[in-house]
Amino acid sequence: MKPYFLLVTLFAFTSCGKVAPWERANLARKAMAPDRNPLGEAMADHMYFSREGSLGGKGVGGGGCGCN
Amino acid sequence: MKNIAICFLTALVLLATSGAEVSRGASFPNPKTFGVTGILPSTKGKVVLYDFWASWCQPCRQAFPAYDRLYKKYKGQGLIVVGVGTDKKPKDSAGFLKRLSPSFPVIFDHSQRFVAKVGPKGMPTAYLVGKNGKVAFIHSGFRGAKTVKTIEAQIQVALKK
Repeated sequence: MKPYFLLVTLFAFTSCGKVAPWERANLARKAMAPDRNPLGEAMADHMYFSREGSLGGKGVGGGGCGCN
Repeated sequence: MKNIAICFLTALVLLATSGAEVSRGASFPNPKTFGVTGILPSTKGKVVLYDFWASWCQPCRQAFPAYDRLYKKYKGQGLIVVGVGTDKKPKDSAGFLKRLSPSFPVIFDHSQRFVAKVGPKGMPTAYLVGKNGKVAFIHSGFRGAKTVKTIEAQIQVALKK
């Protein structure tokens, strides 16, 4: 049981990988940006603010391209 | 439980130590040995600024004209600027260069073997290599005039040595 458990744990760790800065082309695409539609985002914010009284709290720093 | 902890720590150590990185003071690897394409001029006895860039990186686009100005200013004193394109697709690099058309030489690392060896922390990253072939300065990112001022000061120091 124990070796099997260890093997499964090790396999699980193989999925943890570092994306190198030069491999982030797909992450830098516009489709990956959380704010790719500023007008739509503003409309959604307005709707949440009007109906739920909630606003903000979803800011993230870019799409992870590693630029600067 | 102890075994899981050991596995976890081993995996973390492996992740942290994977890949070699060129640091300040270390010898800069010869790009020619990593199968790069493009014409690399002779760098013997010269100060070389290697600029790692990618076509999808916006700051790289801003850095090119600035490095081009530095190249033109210090070329006569022994500075070479070498752009290192890290795009996998040659078509992407070609489009980027067509828009910017730099006067400094550019090499292409489509296999990404060279960039993996050097290991920059972000895009763009500039490596200033002294006349002795050792890395004199590393600058990650591009922040306009602030970056240019910092790199120019380092170039002046390297040219005097």
